[in-house]
Amino acid sequence: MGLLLSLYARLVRLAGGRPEVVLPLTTGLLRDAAGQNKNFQSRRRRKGGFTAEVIRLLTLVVAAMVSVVFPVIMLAKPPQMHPPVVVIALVAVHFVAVLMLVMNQVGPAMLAARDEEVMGWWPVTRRELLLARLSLLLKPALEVTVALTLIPVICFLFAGRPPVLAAITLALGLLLQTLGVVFGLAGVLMLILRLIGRRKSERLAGMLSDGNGLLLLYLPLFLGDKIFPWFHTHTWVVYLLPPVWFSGWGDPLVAGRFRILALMGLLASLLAIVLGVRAAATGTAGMESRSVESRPGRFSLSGLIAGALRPMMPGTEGWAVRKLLQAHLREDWRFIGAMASFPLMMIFFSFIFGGEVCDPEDLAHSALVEVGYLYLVLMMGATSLHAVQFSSTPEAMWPLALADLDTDRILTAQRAMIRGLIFVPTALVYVFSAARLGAGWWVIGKDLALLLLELEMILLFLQPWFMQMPFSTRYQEGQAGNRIVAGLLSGGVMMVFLILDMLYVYLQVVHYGVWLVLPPVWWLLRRRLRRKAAAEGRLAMDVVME
Amino acid sequence: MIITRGLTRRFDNLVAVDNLDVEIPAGRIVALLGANGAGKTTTLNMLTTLMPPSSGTAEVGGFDIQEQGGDVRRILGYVPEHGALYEGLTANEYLELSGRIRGLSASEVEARATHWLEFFELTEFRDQRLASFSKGMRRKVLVTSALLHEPRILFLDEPMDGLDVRSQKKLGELLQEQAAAGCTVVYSSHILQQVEELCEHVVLIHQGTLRWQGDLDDLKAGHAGAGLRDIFLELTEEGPA
Repeated sequence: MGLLLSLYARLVRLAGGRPEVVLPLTTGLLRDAAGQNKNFQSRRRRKGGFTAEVIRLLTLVVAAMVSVVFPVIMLAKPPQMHPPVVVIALVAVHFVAVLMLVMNQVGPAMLAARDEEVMGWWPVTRRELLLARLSLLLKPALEVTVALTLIPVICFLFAGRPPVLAAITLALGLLLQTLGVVFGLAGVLMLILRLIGRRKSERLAGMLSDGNGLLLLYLPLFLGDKIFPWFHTHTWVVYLLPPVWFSGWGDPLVAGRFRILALMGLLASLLAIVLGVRAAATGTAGMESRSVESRPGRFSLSGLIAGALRPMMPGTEGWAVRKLLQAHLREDWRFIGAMASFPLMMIFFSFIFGGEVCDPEDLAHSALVEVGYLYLVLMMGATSLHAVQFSSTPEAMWPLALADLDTDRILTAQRAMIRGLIFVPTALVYVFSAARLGAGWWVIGKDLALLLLELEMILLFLQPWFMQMPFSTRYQEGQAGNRIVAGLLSGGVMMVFLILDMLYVYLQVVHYGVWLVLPPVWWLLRRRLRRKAAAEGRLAMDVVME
Repeated sequence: MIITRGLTRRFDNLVAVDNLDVEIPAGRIVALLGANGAGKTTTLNMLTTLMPPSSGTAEVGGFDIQEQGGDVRRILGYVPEHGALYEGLTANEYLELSGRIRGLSASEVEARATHWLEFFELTEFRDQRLASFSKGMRRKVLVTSALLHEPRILFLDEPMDGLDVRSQKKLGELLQEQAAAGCTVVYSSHILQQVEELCEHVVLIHQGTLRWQGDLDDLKAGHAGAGLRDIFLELTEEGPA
């Protein structure tokens, strides 16, 4: 431990910081992150379940298990091409894993961190603060790197060409790739912070978190027709990724030819690290005056959306939830990102991978398979997951929580809101896609009714577990862990519905039987939720959490 | 000693602090007064290096706030109005972080934190996370953090906000002790009664401009018989001073 600290201190000094400042700062920020998780856990009414640490370990174990696939394939089928496809796949998976880790959790936390408000007058330079924050960022990135690549690297120690050199080069390349992604992205994030200011960068953080940034990775697929053929004729570009060098080093026939490319990759990585640190160290939004928010216009987007949901959300509770929704639509960009990303993803899949023609006979009973390829149900499950997660209600809305509102009606209004925000756009895409294929309106109507019933049942199943409003502005590991728990729960229900939908499409008995079975199950779930809310003595303020 | 020359801060079209020329003597408790939005917090933010001025300069303890920001930060303690804290830390951990960053050894931090936490009757809460602290308790932790490194200059923005009466009295006495020991205390507040009890020197800002500065006794002498509240209202009336 002492040796590691001493090494870290040397690195800090090398990077232009004072170890006597950066070390306690790093410790303090790590303790704060751990404490925030404990705060979050202690606020939850439902105790037990997985802690953030357990979730983190589980994720690393899963990553290690996934990584076994690469050496197994390599050993089972000796590679014919250079570099081997499995290595490129490993490098790509590692690149995306580190990128998403930074973009999902640490990046938003960096963008939204309010260090200036806590220690803006302390004798800490911007560079030192950044070095401490980067340490927080590097820790999980290195953990994922080790989990994902340790087994393949050990395998290449024996099976590479030449064995030891290939493994060492691969390990160094992966480490460099980790540093390049982390520092490069940190630099970009801090540059953005400096360019757009604190308030807007907090909004951006919200848009990026919870995997919403994943959509950015899909965008190149829109140009897939052009990109993939180009890669086919320009395979040398993979040598620019540091970890692929070993293939060049390991094969004397191609080593000379690709050594320059490998050198370019090395230089590009080092440049990303140096420029990233430099950009991040100087990037700051500084203090901003808090402008007074003007009252939203009558035809503002938030007002129009809330207005459109009005028929679905009657009563005082419906009004209260609509007001909360409006507040979040104006200020909570994490909520906006979560709500917008999945319908967008669904549209993306529908139009990129969806068919344009099919046999009319296949549409006689249902269009679920032809239009949705069954991912439709998965998408709805994922969106409902977003809608039943964790909350952070603006202070201004607390009087609503303290008012004499009925908990069950608030939960009903919450489901209506999800119906309006998630199901309606999903249904519109479905209707468009199914009609384009030539499905009859009766078939489309039946499919939609089934999907709506399934969504309602997922929500009724999840609401007793996460009986809160679907808003959140906190970026914590603990919260991500709880999302995984919610994901596992809804994933189980999803599997049941997937099988049911498959049987619904292909078996006549089930096709009509579901209408006899599902409504009573829905009714029972509804009654269970109502009784649970009453039995636990839930108050509106438990649901509309701070 | 704090000196500002033409200190100005603009936010787009709004001039929050306009050409401020102030001299604050060392070792005294100085009240920074003004109505809501007068520019007090912006002035404090500039003097504590949180915010660069749009134009003008200032010296804090002999150091230029722009050229020697690091030196300024080393000699000051600050209790901001909306004091943010790392809420995942316990009081002890937060004070350890604050002290170590200012170059104190672990034993020094421990001894001083223990002293001030006892003074503010927070000892039994020192191992609790700050998220569970009330507004007043957070204020006390912020004051403790500001005092740990024995600053030469102490800035406090509405320090009594959220404190109970006993704690207000203790903090008042503490500030007087600090001033007696040579520390310059700049105290921004709306509570004029406390200002009259504690402060010897007054700087009054209105709409970003200086309306009056000098000894409190001189201010009162110039408005024979009037209380500080009436003087304040008179000096902050709309129109030129």
